[in-house]
Amino acid sequence: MLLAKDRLEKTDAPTVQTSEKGDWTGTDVSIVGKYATQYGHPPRAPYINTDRGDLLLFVFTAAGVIGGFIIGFNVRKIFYER
Amino acid sequence: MSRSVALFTGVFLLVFFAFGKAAYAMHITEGILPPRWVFTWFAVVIPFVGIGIYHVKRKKKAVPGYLPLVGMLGAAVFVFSCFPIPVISLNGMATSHPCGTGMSAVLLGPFVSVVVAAIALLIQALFLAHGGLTTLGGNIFSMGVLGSFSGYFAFKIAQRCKLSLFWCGFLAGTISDLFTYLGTSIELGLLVINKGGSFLKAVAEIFGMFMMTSQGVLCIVEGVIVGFILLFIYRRKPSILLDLGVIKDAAKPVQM
Repeated sequence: MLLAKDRLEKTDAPTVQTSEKGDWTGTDVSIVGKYATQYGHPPRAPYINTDRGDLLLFVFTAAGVIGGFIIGFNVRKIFYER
Repeated sequence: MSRSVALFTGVFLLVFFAFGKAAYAMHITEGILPPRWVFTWFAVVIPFVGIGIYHVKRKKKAVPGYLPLVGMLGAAVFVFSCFPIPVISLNGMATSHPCGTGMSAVLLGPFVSVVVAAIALLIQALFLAHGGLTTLGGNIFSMGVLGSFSGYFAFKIAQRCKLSLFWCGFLAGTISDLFTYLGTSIELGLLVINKGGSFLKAVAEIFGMFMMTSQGVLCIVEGVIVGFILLFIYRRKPSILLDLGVIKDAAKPVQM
């Protein structure tokens, strides 16, 4: 258990965020965002913004697990069950 | 009790998620399309989605095991289209994602594939900060409508040219990915019209940039994946392809 004085402070260390530009930036990020800004329509924050630190990692993992389960369950049902 | 829990959850989610910093995510992000184009793209895609839902209702009675197949392909499109694959491109290291609508269009038909893409994009916009709610119509048009119909017709044309099942699937996957990004380029290119810029020049520049970075590589990868998936289904259970009308006669060997 953490004591009050040991509480974690926010640092400048980078978090896992798709909005950060640099190596491994998605083409949709670098290209769509770049041209939209150039044409006067810059992207804005989503109405439901999960791009906050590890929250995005959580929702991506959850989505992957759920999606993977649905795919696996149906593959078994369709291709392997008699 | 349940209503108060639902109200609390709704308010919590709204406060928690609504005030964040801008996320420049994949597809066309929130805020990029002006209201005129938001309504236009929704008006364009709604008939496709409506016809797609009608096709699902009709086919689930006619084709055995159709709903599990829709569920499986829906989940596959969802995972494919939010799966950033690291690639080394001309401008350095980047990530890009396949679309999956070529595969779903070949197996389910283009209209049902639009429905599948719409559901996947809606979930991504709601929970994964990918795309956006106001840009949902535009994203459904590029990935759902253009991606599905181009992949479907590429498959049919390849079949008429008597290409093997793998190459038919390869072309469907590759062409659908190309057209998806062409659609995104067109939607972005339309933004320059009011600015006095050249639409065609903008579309060519954006599309060229997509292809020269990493999406060009991903198009080919997606084609290979779709080709192998069709081969897997044909070897494992060809009756599915026959029931869905992907092949004409299961007894007749398909050139692989």
